[in-house]
Amino acid sequence: MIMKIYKSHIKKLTPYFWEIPKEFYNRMRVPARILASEELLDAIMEDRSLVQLVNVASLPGIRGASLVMPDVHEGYGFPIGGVAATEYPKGVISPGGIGYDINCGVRLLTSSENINDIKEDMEALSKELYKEIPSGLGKGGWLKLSANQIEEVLTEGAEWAVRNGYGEPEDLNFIESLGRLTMADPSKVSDMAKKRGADQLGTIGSGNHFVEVDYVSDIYDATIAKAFGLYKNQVVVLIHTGSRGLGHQVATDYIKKIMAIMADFGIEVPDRELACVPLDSDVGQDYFKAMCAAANFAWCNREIISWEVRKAWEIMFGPDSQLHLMYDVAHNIAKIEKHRINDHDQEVIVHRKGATRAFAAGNPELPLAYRQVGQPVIIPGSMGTSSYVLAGAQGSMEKTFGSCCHGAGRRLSRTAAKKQVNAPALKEKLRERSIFVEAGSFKGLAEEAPIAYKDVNTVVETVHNANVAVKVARLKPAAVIKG
Amino acid sequence: MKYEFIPHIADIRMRIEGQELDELFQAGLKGMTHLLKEDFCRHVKGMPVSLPVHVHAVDVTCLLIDFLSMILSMTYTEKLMFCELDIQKVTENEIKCNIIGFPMVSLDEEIKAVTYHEADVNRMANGNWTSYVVFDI
Repeated sequence: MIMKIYKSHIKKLTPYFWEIPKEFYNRMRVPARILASEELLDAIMEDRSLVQLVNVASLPGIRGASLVMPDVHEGYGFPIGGVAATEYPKGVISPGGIGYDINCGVRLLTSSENINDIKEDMEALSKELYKEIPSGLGKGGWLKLSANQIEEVLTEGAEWAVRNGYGEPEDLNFIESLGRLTMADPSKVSDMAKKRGADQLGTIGSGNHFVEVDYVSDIYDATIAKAFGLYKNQVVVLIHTGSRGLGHQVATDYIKKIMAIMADFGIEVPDRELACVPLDSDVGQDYFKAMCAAANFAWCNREIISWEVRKAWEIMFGPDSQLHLMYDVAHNIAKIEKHRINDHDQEVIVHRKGATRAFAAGNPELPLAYRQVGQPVIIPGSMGTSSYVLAGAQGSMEKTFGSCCHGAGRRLSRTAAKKQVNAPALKEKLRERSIFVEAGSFKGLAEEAPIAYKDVNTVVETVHNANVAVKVARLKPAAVIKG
Repeated sequence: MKYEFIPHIADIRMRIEGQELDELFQAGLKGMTHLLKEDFCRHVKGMPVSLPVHVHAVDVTCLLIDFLSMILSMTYTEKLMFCELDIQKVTENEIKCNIIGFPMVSLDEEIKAVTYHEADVNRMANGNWTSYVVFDI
């Protein structure tokens, strides 16, 4: 088992791509590649992300290379910020390569408000949003689904919310996969998972999940910004959450099932969280269908949270001030996609765990409005720093299986953050900078303090310079709602 | 029997220890409940509810993680916080017990899942059982 990787093991391919060659460890089936500046690479080497990356490179059926993005940090089994493509349909699918929070993702709503006109309303807006959006911690939300309704949500995804009056029909065009994976099969989701999810639609949860009001502080590419409907000083809303307890239970159920049978396929893994089976096996198929159902639940959840945000918005700014969905993208998911590997177009199972899809212009999966400019890539920073909107570029299709980073990436443990941060003082400090925070607990606030994260600007510069995604706009926070 | 939390970059790592397996499982339960709601079990309110739990696994490490996963799921679905175990049988492959819970009020932290990462139930030099448990937060 590999315990440590030194810089001497890593080959520089370009200023932003690094490689641990296949020959480094005899179980590796493909090289392991790191998308990072040298400064970020040094930071990445401080935890065990690269050991985990090498382990992923040993999975049966993996193609091309195992990859990590510049915001990578150590996870469990797979690193967070990783991408792995396996052969379709004989290669493996691994629930750990997707994560417990299936289809954790982020969406951005655009408003017609200018920050200079509503600056004074931000504190009241943050309180109104906190009132409308339940965290769901232990109590659930206001929407309680019947057994039939939960089956419908798992099948229909965001369409269910729209059909029931909790969303706008035009939103659906601006959600990855139109907010519905058609391979979903609710019968593959356990009763326990359905029970956990039954009262959680419309809730954000805790941890790093949030609803944030931002304004556009900088435009880097005016043409793409116009296509995305973004302009300077415009107020926008970011929503970051996933499939809640339902998705967590689906992952728990299938990791256990897969661990029990993977030896039947001759598969051995160095970490139980890498448990995997061929996609075309019965259990592989069952997991994929259950994962698709959980992904649909997450898209429905973010659609209903948007409805709650719109409700608060209307109370604050009246019915004429509307919020439009710019885009909704998953960063914990597996998708069957066609990519060019060794000069051949091949279908592969792309696992993205803490990585955002970032398709370049021309891809038929993109909404018509964005097809000429590339897919919006939304990169949240931390509550006191910047977030970014980028557009998928050709480098992602050539080097990262159409993927990009998903955030700033943690640099401090939760324990270290709590030791270093005085949460009430942080809240006051942010308030002095006109950033109004409403949080369920000071403990959660300290854990998610800006100091706990890497510098998002450096992460974004890296993907921009590597032509994986190009910078379109920078966002600055004005109000933050946390569970 | 004891539990302690050790820094982990993104999630929560707990180390548990017990003289015998039953104490190790008790420590896991107490630590997990403390994480969900600090000191909940010191100030319980309401009528206790006892629910049966029976878990089998291929080895003792899987047994511990599957057992804690089961209790975590029941915490959310039953809206109860579990503070005590009444163990009828525990081996390296099976645990049969009743778990004693109290009505949940609210949570400090939502645990997404109990992972197998770094879990390894083994005996220390002093004969005590120990393991790490990493929670996905």
